[in-house]
Amino acid sequence: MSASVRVLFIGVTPDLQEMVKSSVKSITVSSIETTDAFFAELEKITDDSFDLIFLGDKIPEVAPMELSQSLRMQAGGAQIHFLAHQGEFQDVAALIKNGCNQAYFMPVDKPSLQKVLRLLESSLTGAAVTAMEAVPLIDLEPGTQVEFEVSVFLPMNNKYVKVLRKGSEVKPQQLQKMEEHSVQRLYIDERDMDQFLSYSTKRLKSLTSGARSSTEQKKKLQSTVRNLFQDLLTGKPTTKFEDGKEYMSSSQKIVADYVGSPKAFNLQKELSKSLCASDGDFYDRSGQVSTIATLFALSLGEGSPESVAIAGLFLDLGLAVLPPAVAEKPISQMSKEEFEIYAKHPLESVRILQERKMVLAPPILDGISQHHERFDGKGYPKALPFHRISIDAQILYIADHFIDFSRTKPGQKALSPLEIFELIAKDGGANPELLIKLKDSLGVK
Amino acid sequence: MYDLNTRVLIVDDMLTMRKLVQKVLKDIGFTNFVEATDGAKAWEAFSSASPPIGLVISDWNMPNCSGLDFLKRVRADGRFAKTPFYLVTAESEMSQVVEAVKAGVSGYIVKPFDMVTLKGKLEEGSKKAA
Repeated sequence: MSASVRVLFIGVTPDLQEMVKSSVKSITVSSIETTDAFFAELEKITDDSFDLIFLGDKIPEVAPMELSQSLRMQAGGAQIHFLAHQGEFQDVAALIKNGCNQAYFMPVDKPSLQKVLRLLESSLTGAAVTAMEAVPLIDLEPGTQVEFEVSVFLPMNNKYVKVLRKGSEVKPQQLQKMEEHSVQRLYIDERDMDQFLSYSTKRLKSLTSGARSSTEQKKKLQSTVRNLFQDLLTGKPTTKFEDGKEYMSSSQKIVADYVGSPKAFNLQKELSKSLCASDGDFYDRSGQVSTIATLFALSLGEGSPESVAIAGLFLDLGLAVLPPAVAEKPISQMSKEEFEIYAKHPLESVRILQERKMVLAPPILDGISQHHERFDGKGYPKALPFHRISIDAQILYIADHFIDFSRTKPGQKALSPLEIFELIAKDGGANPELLIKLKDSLGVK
Repeated sequence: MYDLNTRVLIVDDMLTMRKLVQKVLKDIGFTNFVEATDGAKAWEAFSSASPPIGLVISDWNMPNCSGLDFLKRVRADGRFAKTPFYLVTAESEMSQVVEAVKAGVSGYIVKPFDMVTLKGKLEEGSKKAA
């Protein structure tokens, strides 16, 4: 095993180099800052010269794409990552297409970068790695058994104290005591996160199965989803954007387990790949719509969480087979004929699934084919009257628009969930009664 | 495989890419290179080269005159109808490959590529031409 992690920085700003150095205990650093030095050194770099190469955007006259392409050609097997400040150059898909393994933009990607560095250091030097993930207190249910260790963090002593061991039962008095001490967050070793997510899934399932009639169970379910949702998007004043990203990925795992078919997620990736339209964004976006729609259905107690989860994954597959001239254009710039082609994509999604002999229940297919139908009857592809749009499709319509409005470009201020709900309401395409119910059940004010 | 003594024209607006393509070709065994930074300059070098150019590796996306326009210009001249001509493309341009095939490209290589890929493409193209 190597004594330290060998890192090469090419055109990375000094502060970001410092950040990487401070995240790794044992590190050997080389740095290239100028165009001449880059050209002089390029041909000497091999697959084995460095454990990690960080590219930045500060080499004069050499664009990030050129850097990544040339490095990948020179050292095909090396780990090449892009590292820059947010907003400077941020086309992750293009960077990955052009040879980078991953791209990190500070400060939002700091946690994921640190995780990668810790794991790399551990694999290279054999150093033990422990990292804790924060989860809300409400995620633990009294009377259940946990298959993971649970700790609380004591800020005064700057340390974690174990409160539950693997295999122990969550005692009501323990939770009550923590609530009295205003403990809101619990900490779980990141290596135990899979067990924790599977615990959360079981809990959600027990709250939904056969318990719809019980007011108390429904309330509990709503509060669980509300908590998940608030952590995910609304955020408490202390919640950071990076926490939101972590929660989104956890929530996606919970939804995949909940549906009982994590394979559906893989299949969706494979399908979109085979259709040649699968950039990372396409895949991530449908995963997000699926997750949000499932949380909405659970929180409303209406529609089928399982159906919207699967429909959400596949609803935009049809976009992949549109002619490039239509697919690459914003809707506002499409001619009448182009929009007519575009408007058929929900039906194309269904056709692709059926052609591949995927047996999906009719409610799922309705959810997919009707997810652009509108409350005012002006939707597409069929401009169905409101009473003929399935409740799952109505939920998917809101989730789809929610994700669109929640996305921001660099430098643009993110909208709050309330602002997003207001925009969706103003547009007139969503069922207003459902929107109000959803806002109430999620506690969006 | 093509004759390793043949003159190779490398066209790319990026210096790094010209250097790396040349390095990969040197590793394969080629020794005689001419470089150009866009399609227009490439045509000048190509049409006046003596001894003539026997192999062209050109980037697609370049200012002034793209790799595809350069290819069309080469093929429009009867003397160069069979000169091996390879286009280097980014994945996003794959949809345009059909146009390049119609224009008479010998093969296309998707960036980033390594020596094995380039060698494979050249061998494949030389067999087809034989």
